[in-house]
Parts: sequence; C-alpha cells; structure tokens
Amino acid sequence: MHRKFLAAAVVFVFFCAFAAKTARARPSSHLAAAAGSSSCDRGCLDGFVNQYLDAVVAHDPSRVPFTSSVKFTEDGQRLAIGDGFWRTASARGTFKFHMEDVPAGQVVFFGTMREAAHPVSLVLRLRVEDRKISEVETIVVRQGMFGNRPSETGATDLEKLGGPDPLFLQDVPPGQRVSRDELGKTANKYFSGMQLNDGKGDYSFFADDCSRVENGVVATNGHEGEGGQIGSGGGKNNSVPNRPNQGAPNRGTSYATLSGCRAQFQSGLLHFVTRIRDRRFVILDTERGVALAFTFFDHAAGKTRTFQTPDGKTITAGPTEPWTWEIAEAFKVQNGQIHRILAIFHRCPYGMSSGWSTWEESMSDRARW
Amino acid sequence: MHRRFAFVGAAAILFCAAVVLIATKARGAAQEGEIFVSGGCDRACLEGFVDQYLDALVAHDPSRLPVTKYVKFTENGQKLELGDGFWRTATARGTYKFFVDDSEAEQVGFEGTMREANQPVLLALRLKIFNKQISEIETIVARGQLAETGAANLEKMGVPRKAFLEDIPESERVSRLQYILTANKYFSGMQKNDGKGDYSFFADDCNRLENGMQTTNNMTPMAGLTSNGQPRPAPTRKYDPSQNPTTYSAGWSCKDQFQSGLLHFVSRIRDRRYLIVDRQKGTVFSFGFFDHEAGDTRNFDTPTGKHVTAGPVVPFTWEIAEIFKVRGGQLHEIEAVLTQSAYGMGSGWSSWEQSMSDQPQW
Repeated sequence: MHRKFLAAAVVFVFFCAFAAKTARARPSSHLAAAAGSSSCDRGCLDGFVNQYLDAVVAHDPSRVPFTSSVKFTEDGQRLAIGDGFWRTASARGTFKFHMEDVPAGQVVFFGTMREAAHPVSLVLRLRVEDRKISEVETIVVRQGMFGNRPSETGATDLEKLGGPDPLFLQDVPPGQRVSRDELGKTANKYFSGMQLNDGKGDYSFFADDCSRVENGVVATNGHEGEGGQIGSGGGKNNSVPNRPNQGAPNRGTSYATLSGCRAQFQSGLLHFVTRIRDRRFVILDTERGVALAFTFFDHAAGKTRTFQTPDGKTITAGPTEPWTWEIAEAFKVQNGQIHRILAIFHRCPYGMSSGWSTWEESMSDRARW
Repeated sequence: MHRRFAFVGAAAILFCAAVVLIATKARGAAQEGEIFVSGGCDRACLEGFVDQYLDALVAHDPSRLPVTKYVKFTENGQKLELGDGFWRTATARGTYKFFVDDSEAEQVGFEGTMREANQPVLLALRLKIFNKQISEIETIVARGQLAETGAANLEKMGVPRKAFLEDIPESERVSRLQYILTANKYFSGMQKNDGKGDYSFFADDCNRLENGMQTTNNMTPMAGLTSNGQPRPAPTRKYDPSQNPTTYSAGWSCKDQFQSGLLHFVSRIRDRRYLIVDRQKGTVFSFGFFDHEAGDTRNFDTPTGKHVTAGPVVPFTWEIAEIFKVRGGQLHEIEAVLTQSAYGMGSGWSSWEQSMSDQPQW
C-alpha cells in the first residue's frame, strides 16, 4: 500500500513538474505551434492585418476569423471584440508599417487611421494560430485622451513621413544575421540605457547613423520642441507638466537639444525615466533585423527629478507628477548596433499594465521574448 | 496499464482537490478569525487613520503607517507599491475635507484637496481597517486645470454642504442595502438615460458637485471645454421640453437633467462598488466607471422625439468616486471626484467580469 502511494506521489510530482515546465515554456511552445501550423508567411500575416483593419472600419467583427477564445485589448484594457475603436474607426490612413515575426506567428502594424474623421495613430499586434486570430493588442493614440488635441496624435506627422525609414525594410545580409536572442538583447540595451540614465554606460550599441522618430517627429536632431517627448516637457504632444522649468527646455539641461541617439544617452539627462517595465519583445525578425517591444516608461517624479549629470551638474527635470507612457517601439538592429528607432506612444495612468502580463512581470524591468 | 494510469490520475486529481480544499478552508478560517479579532474602529478612529495616512503621504514616509502585511494600494486603478505614485509627489494637505465613516465595515471614505508639486489636486481615498491596521488603500488623484479650479472652489466653500453632515433621525434610518439601492438608482437612471424612467428618487433640493464644480442648478458658465474640445454651452435655467434642447444644462435640476433624456451617451456605468455606508448620516461612498462608447451610441431620441447626436466622439471613460446623501428614499446631495481613465479600465479591486458589469456590488 505504501509503495503504491509512493509510486502515485512520484508520478504526481513528475506530472506537476511537467505542467510547470510547460507553463514556463509558453513562448517557445508558441513558436513551435506557429511553426507547426504555420505557413502563415509575411504576406499571410500582412493579409490578416488588412482584413482586420477593413473589418474595424466596417465595425463588423464577423468579417475576421477569430479563435473562440480570442483576447482583445485596447490601450491596456481587455474589451469585448467590437468595443472601443471598433465602434469609432471611420477610415484607414496612409502610413503603414508592417513588422512580421513568421516563426512566432505574430505581426505588428504601425499606421494611421481616422476616428470620427480625426487622424489617429494605431499600433496593432495580431497573433495568428491555425489561420485564425487568437490575440489582438492595440494602442490608439487619439484626441481627447488625457487632453490630447486633434493635432496631437502624431498621425499627421507620420503621414508626412510617408512610410517607415527604408532601412527598416531591408534584409540583413544572410551572413550578418543573428539569433532572436541576440537581436532582443541588443534592442533591450536601449531601454536599459535610458532607465535612470546616468551618462556613464557603454552606449556603443548606438550606430553613428542612429535616429529616433517618436509619434512621427524626429527626436534626435537636437531641435527644441520637435520631439524629445519622453517626459522632457519639450515635446509636441501630451504636454507634460514641468512647472518649475516652464517653457522650452534649456540647452545644456535637456537631452532634447542634443543631436544623435548616443549623445542624448551620454548626457545623463534622461535620468527622470525611472523605470522601463513590462518589456515584451513580440517581434524578433532576424531576416530584417527588426525588433519590436511593447513597454511602459514610468516617471516617478518627486525626488527622482533631481540628479547629477556626468559633468557634475545638478539638474531638476522631468514631469512633476507620476507619469507613464504606454509605448510600442521598433528597432532596426544590424552588426550589433541600433540604427533606427520608431515609437508610437501616449500617456496612460501611472503604473498601468498591458493586460498581457502578470502584475509582477508588469512591474519588472526584465526583458521577455 | 490503463487502469493503473487511471488510478494514478484519479489520485492526482483527488490530491489537488484536497490541497485546494484545505487552502480554501484555511483562508476561510483566517478570515473568520480576522472578523473575530477585528472591530471597534469608531468615527474618530476611522478619521484618525485618514489623518495619519495624509500626514504620512505628505512626509513621503509609509513607515509612519500601521499597515497589515498584505496591504494593497491602488492609485487611479493601478496597483502600486506603497510609497510610489502620489506618495512621492504630495507636498501638502489642503483645507477641504469630507469624511464618510462606516464603523460597521471598518472603512472610511475621504474626498479632499491636496497639493502636488505645490499645485492643487483632488483626492478620493478609501481605507479599510483591520485589527487597527490599514489593509486596503484605494485612491483617485484628479489632476490638471479642472481639478485646480475645483479644488479652489471647494476650499472657498470650506466644509462639505450642511445636509451631508446632518444626522438622519434614528426613526428614519434604513438598512445599508436600502441606502445603497437608492444611491444605485442614480447610476441606473443615467446609464443610457432615456428620460422615461421614474426619477422621483431625486429630492427637489438635490444638487451635484463634480470635481468641485456645481453641475446642477448652476447658471455660471462652466470653464474649460467639453470632451469634444468644444466650449461648454451657456447654461439655461429650466429644462423646457418644448424648446427641444440638444444638450443638457448645468443650470437644470438633478431631476430635469435625467428627464431630458440627454445623458443617453453615458452608455455604461460599471463596476459600481458601494463599500462605505454611514447609516447615521445617510451617506453612501461609491466607486464606478462611466463609459461613453461613442460611435453609433451618440445618436438617440429624446422623450419629445427629437433626434440628437451628442457625447464624446471617441471611447471615453471617467473613473469616479461619488458620495450620495440619502434621506427619505431620495438623493439630496451628490459630490464626486473624477478623472479620465483608459477606456474600459478596471479598478484593481474587481474581477474582469465584475468590472464590466453594471450590477451593484457591496
């Protein structure tokens, strides 16, 4: 009897261990599932995006093949399919940038749309399983959100750009391609270098030609008031309260006045970005060297606004109230360096989660893919 | 072999069930134990906890607070570490203070003014006390220009309206549930408001303040813009159906606004949580979310047959803490602190299903 019980217990422990391992291995199993069911190549994934967007504009979810347990979020909130932007989208826009991860069965779309005839920016992630959409994650940068005016959604600026920088779309020569892991690690250096930025890190992961576009505006050309939106108060949209330093940021105390990705990080002036959390790399396209992450930039404010730059200056900068950006950020990585960065983001309640992570994952600055 | 596998499988399932049962029972017992040892936090005790909390907040020092081991803290619907968020930025207490004390549930609600980076903000706060320690902290911080104006109004007012502070004669007091159900008529009457309901739950003297601004019986033009970015229309004195109005007016009474059917664009009032009831004063402190779905829901007919298009053009949610004065089965005073949230957001205290439901919880 005892031996039987022991055998049952041993089997049970193995069962539990297997179950736990399976649960932990979810991302890989997704890869395997996608590969197995697959044959949804770039064209197929992009086709799902087009089908989805047409259905959204028609306000008709029945036009899209969803799995029975499909999950949909908009701006971090789980909604019923058909709610939110599904009710208000009025047309597709002209800016379109598709990023595919064929092995993972995922695609992310950066683009412009119209909502009640106003231009909005849209980030859309679809997961495709067995030719059906099982996950839909969206960020809609729209007017009216936390006081955004119609001109402040970034959509007009994105449409002026016409499309993504051509470098994003070029294949990396086969001999220079790296693993998914390497791709993710290089892109993640951007977040790690910005979080509590002190100017003392190794920023050689930035290529000399690196440039960053945020909500359609070049943020690395050193022009005050054009970009530099990450909580500097120098941005064009989602105006950040920065009362002690009202007006345009001063040269020498604002990273936004500096040219180049690396120079901005070397300045140590981005210190007020206190935590970059819930870093989910959902696209790792090794053929094109494109990595894309959803994440949140917290600005804890208070005492964290006061810090020292590498040259010994004491600076007080950043938002005066707790502030979080909900962000989707795409990176072009080649030869171990970041060449292009393109982000779409808006403000969200401080500390908000994506709806796709546990609370612990959501509060962690560890990258996941 | 199959039978042995089945036996092992069954044993595993039974084992799991036993573990879950024991864990549940243990938890239940702990909760019963908690109820047993808890109790005895009266009005002064509850308000003392609020004072202690606000002082610790301004000092940026959570260690000054007696909290339970598993204390939970949310700010604007987000679970944060105690010490994060407003804990880093609060610079002073304001002068307007409104307490709703519930010694039966050992919970206290507070709406008041504060300073953040020296700018006026509005705070709604709920504390749950267990065994003379704080076990739950729920906050809404309303910031920005409208909150600044509202905070100035409230501080000018000085203290909450008199009716809120008056005791209900003992003979008129009703059960917690009756207070809650009367308050809930407000949310049910506003959700998809069609002007055809029974709005006799509004007393003739009903008045509402939202973020410190009087939004009923007020002929002063409101500052700021509507959620559509349009200037707010000048208020009119009295709801007159024969004029076929297309927007409700802050000049109208509580009842008139609901009778107009012009609040239809509030398409869902969900996650209605009535956690604090002061039976002695007839006050109910609630949390909820007002969804405006936009799209086709902006088109509706008023009771007079007028076709109207109104409300936000984008999906829009208010996160709200709302206090009601209930007496004689009617609402006399209403006071709310609200802030925009992400559309469809949850409170951090409900399941997703509760969060999406318009059923009242208590």
